[in-house]
Amino acid sequence: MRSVALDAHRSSLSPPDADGLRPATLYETHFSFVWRNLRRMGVSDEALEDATQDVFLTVHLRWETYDATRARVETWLFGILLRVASYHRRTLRRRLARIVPWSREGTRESLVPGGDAPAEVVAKRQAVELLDRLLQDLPPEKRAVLVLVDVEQCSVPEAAQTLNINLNTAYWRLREARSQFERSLARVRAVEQRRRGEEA
Amino acid sequence: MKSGHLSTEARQLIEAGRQGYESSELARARVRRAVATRLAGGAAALSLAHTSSLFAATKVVVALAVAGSVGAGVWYGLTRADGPNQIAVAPQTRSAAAAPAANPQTNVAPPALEQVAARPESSRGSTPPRVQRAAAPGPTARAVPVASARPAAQASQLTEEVALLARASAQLNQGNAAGAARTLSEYDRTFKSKTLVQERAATGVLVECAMGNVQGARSSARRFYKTWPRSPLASRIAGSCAGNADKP
Repeated sequence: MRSVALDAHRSSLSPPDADGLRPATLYETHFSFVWRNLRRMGVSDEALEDATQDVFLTVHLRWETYDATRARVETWLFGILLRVASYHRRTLRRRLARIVPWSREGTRESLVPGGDAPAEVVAKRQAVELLDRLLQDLPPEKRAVLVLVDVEQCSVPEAAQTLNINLNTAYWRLREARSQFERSLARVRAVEQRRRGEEA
Repeated sequence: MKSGHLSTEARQLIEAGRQGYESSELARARVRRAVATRLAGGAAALSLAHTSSLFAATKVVVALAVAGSVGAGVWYGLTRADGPNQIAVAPQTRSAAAAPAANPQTNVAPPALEQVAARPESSRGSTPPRVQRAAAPGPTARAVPVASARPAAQASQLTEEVALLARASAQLNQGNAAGAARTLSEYDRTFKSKTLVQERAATGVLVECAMGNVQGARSSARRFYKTWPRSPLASRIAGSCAGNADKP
């Protein structure tokens, strides 16, 4: 059942052949994919546009190395964005720590709109924000597997190939990531419940 | 199952958040233009002509590209330091789209991505590779010493400088170019001796672009390139209405 659903999802994401794909068309079709996954992989809001630029620049430069028979374009893109995100995270963190050691948090604005936004929009944004928070709690290598498999719905072998890791390692990281994700979610829910209890 | 299961609640959360983080059309346009600018500026030529390993070349190019943006990104990180609600701006990408809107007659528009991509590698510009810029530590990093070795007063001034520049960036982000210009004037009045002088200059170029003063922006950009030829912020200015025509 799951594999049928996955196949349908994949076919909606990428065409059966890559003949029609070009970097410029990829930009149109996969901008959101790159954007949201860069964020999930820890690129800060303010660096997001630059990181996206870097990804598509690399896409242009490496396009000839893309082999549609070996990987879906999403996993190929993910491999690129993973490196770009890693660079952004590492460099920014190191330099920020050196320059402003007194400020290591609060670098994200709230995604939840204020005022009169419809309830469902607020609920969705809260879900996005919570998902982001929980993902950021995971170590990058485990987060990458979880994002690929559970969020972007790739298979574990695809994730292993994208991340260039052993299949068993991918399964292990996924299990660990899921477990940690669940624990973090439980903690958040417990805090919410306690808060509600105090308010009541 | 060897990879474990997610609970229903976790699956629902992921489902709800899966399509999150959508970019705005404006951001999409900015990035598109900036990529075209950078490709036209010779980044592509760098990668393939001088290296036998394509992947290694790509890593170098990405490192270079990212170094430029991350150098300035540090500043954007700084701009967030004084409060979570401050929204910082990525000047290069912002100005890339804002400039033509503010001043349609500007003649520095880069080719479309499709046009750039269609060109043969050998014809993608002859701009020298920006290896040295990336290899050298950015002036931003050098300009700001380690906090622990700095008197508290200096740290306090840096925080205040960051706050004002963050405000200018936020105003720019909201399309309030006049407000951003006023904030920069306030910054100049407040700090006679500036720590973030380079960031101030870069923001000034972007504000001029947003106000439609292309000549002024180019003039300021020329001074910027002359003063800080290897600045990581240079690529941001190159992506603005000021372009990189006058870059040494």
